[in-house]
Amino acid sequence: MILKPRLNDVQIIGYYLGKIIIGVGLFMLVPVICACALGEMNPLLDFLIGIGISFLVGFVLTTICFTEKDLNWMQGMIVVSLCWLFAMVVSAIPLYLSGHYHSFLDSCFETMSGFATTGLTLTQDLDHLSYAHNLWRHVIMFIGGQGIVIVALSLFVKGFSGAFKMYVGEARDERVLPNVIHTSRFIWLVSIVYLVLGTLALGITGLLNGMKPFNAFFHGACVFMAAFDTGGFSPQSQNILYYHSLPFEIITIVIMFLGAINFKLHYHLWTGNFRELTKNIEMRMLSFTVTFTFLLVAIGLYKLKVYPQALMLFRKGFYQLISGHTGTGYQTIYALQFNEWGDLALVGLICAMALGGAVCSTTGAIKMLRIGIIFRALKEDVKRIMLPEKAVIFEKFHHIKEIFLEDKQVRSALLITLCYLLLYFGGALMGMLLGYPFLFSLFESTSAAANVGLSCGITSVTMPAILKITYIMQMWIGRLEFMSIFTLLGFITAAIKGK
Amino acid sequence: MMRVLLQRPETRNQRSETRRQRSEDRGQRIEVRGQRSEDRGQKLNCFILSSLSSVVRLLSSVFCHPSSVFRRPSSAFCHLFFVVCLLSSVLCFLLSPCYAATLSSSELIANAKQYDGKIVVYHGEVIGDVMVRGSYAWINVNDSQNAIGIWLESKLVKDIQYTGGYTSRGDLIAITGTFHRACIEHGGDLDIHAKSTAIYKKGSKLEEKSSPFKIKVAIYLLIICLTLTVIYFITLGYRKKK
Repeated sequence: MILKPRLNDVQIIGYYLGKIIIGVGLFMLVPVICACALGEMNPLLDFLIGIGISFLVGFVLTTICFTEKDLNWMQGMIVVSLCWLFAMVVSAIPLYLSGHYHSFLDSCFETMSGFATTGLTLTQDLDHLSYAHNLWRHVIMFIGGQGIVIVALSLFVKGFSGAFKMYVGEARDERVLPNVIHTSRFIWLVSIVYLVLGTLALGITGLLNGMKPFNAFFHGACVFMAAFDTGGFSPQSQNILYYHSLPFEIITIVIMFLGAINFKLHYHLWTGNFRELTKNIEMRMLSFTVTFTFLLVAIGLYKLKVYPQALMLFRKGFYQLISGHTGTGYQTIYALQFNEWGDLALVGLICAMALGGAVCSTTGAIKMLRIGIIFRALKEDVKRIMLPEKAVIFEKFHHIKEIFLEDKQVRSALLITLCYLLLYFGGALMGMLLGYPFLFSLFESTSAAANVGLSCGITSVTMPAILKITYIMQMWIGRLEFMSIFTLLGFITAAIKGK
Repeated sequence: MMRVLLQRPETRNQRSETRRQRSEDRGQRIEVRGQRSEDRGQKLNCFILSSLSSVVRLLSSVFCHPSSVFRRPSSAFCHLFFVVCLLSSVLCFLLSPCYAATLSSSELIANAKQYDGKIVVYHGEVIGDVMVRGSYAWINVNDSQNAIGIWLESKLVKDIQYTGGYTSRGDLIAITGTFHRACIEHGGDLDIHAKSTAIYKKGSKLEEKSSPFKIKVAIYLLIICLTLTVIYFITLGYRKKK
């Protein structure tokens, strides 16, 4: 028998949802300051309207649903899944008012792409977008990369026991420090320190490349936010190709890589434990999968003679591959140029996108820890067949500490992997139903569901609305890693069918 | 990722602004149309010259070639006619290739192999930064479909006054240069190495006009929010006391 949710559940969900929406509204003060400083009047009004609406919704929810009760697991998960949808709508208002979006759906697509750190964009005439709106696109990515709830937890909530439930709901099941609030504050500290260093590095490179000083540092900050949070938005329509600079590409590769590794690993590196880099199962898997998928891409490009020189092949092939593997989505080629790449190189890139980076990082997709666990389980089973029946077989792996492989971990890793594969193929099926070729549909669908942002040209203003909605759903589900979405579906089913 | 389309959308509360924008756009469209008709004119010239060359060559071969059945060996006029025809056909042939095709960025990117290493004419708005690198420079030119990087001598960028951004419309520039699908000099970038440039319309600063409707909505919403904030904190204080 399914039990109908009580009014109390709705009240608690509404209250915390309201708080998070107010938090999103407060973040709009960043572009407001930018608009005031640069004298951009229209963007200022757009953001004031955005803040007004988010505060209105937030205050109404917190006042009507006021409660002092703490969240349980179900409520925590539902708050997380719903707050991503509410944040998407509220943040889309200033973007829509800018006039650079064909419809409100397009601006919602943009904000979901930002929050989920995907990087697919439907902005029209991006090269004439205001600084304030451009900054907002990148701030959204920064908030989404850290996790919307983490932001609320670390800045607007003093501490409560339901925090961990929402933290887990946002696909972060590992705590760097014993306390969740301290963990989220550590994540912020890491991000801010890297933000300063990354902006300086990119800004100085921009200056040396001949950019105007303000533009160099503005672009530096924006590109850092999008690269570290493995997002992929860029201030200009040409993406990274705009800069025509090898040093710029190298720095973004380093930042993308830093964004793709586990925050726990960052903590160990910060505390001087560099051996963890070589011992960690995720880092070993990452180096193996990068090598393997790059080989596929390189052979594919070489066979078709896409690039006349080996160095050129390496520069273009490796950049797109690292960008896809880390889930960033930065491109140094045009979307239509993927047509030249051929099937083998595209399959290599799709595999890289589908695998993703480390757990407890800002990347999406299946992730290295799960792949590592599945490989270890396979190894254990092969050993079991090869060795005598009485032999005691156990498998262990190193992830911050030595961990014995358990069936529970293998089951969980396999389930999530299966869900991701279904999500990738579901989106591809929708693409094919709408008339796009199989490989391109799979490419774009994997890119959306794995929160990557590379595009082979399907994502455009002219694509059907149903495909836009499909990609929004894929980005949302892929970013939250299924559990909170399944809980929300269960809650809705219980509300309809429950007694 | 980097899809940019032609037209800017209309929003309900930006009507007056949009109307102004439209009239501007109309002006631009007329300009673009003018440019297109110019291109068509160039293509037509090219076609006429090539056709003329073929006809002249055909006539000369029929009437004046030594093996022709119509040939009258004693006629000096015929020899003169043959030489004139030959010279004019050579002239026509030499003239025709200097009219390089004007192409859009989408055409160039989609058919990059076809145009690789060829001289093309590309035009659009200079956007973002002019990045001077020693005696050469990079500019990015957007033709409202995509932007393409142009590598050109630094002296050629001196005439560029405005680059496109939120506050300005960039200079409209026509570039004649060699198109590279994967440029060897620039690590495989798709780019154009400019041989000559011509600014055919100067850019300008854009005036920002705020819609009165937007201002009203923003003020009303802020008043409502401030009231709600005060009510929220009063209720919170009351609940804590309780």
